Amino acid sequence: MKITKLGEFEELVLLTVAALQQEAYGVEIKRELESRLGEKLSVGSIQSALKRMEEKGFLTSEFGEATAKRGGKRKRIYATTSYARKVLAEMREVRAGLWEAIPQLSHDLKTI
Amino acid sequence: MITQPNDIQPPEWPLRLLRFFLRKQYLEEIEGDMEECFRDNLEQFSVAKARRLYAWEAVKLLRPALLKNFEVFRNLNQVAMFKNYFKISMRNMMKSPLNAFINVFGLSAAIGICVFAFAFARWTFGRDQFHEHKHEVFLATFFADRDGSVQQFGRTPRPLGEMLRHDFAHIKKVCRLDDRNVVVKHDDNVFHERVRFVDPEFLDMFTFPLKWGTPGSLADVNSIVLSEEAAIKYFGDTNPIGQNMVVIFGKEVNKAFKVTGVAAKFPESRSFDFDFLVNFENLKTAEPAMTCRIGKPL
Repeated sequence: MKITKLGEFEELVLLTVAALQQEAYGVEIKRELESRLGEKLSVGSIQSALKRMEEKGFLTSEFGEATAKRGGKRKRIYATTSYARKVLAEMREVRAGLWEAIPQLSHDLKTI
Repeated sequence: MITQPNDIQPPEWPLRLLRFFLRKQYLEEIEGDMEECFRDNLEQFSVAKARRLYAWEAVKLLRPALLKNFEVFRNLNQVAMFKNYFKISMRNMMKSPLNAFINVFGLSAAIGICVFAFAFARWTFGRDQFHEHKHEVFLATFFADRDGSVQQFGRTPRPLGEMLRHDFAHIKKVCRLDDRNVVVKHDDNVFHERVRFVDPEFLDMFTFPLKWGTPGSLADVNSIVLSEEAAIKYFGDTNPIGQNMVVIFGKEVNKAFKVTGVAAKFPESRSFDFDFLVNFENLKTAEPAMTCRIGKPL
């Protein structure tokens, strides 16, 4: 596995986009992540992560519908690319492998 | 709870900030997101707090990933060239580190010494240059033979002043000067100070700029002129002109003075200054015995 240049926060945002499917636009991603992480996030951090990942080819986007709550501005709906899904699956495997590689013994000793 | 949230608008200036700095193609989406967040916040917080959060979010949106490419940065296509220059010079220096160190250190030390010499010369030659009559003022000195070696002293006998004033027509002004340690008192402020006794010509010969008052006021034996530092010490930032100060010269010898002048902050580069100026005649008050010993009035 080559270096994918996906940061920790970017990975979280990417996973959220994958989970939200059709609802994946800026504010909704922010709300979802805030409730899961239990902390406040700024619009700027979400937006810059989205733009960076779009540039790297993890995300595609298109304009969605406009609502009155948004002052007549359109949403931008994000979707993951197949490349992104492949990278996410790879990272998950690497993590799982590492978790299994931690010797059970040391874990037991710590809990004593 | 707000019934009609659409009546409340977010502040204007953060939007202008965003429109100026962010890339055009992102604006619609980001503005929409901001507005939606603002509406969400309105349901939780007060209007003022929602507005504050809105502005803060806008500031936090100014991130490199979202910013426009400004002209300045696009025109800097010599960046690669300069990077190359630095890289090559680093490599050349690293070829012989000791030589490079000697050269760089030597050059920087030389430049440092030059800057220091310049600053020192400017300080030295700029000293006392604020006196208007700097070329016409001289210090009377005397030479003393001390065990065969001639030494020059800056202090002269007191009657010399009067003598110079009367006997030499081309000497326009003479100023005698003497210091005494005294106690100066104003209300509850009592401090040990050094008072300078001078002839009234002092402020004409040495043109220390005055903040308040007139130089001529020293002719009055009851007037006292303060430095800015002393004025602040006793009176704070207020104008002390006309205030009374008691100067205690010694045991049961004291006199009330009226403040008639305050010097402006002294220029940094000076060879002498003062804290308090009083008329030279006050030496008679300070030391009644002195006049008797000399035999005739000062």
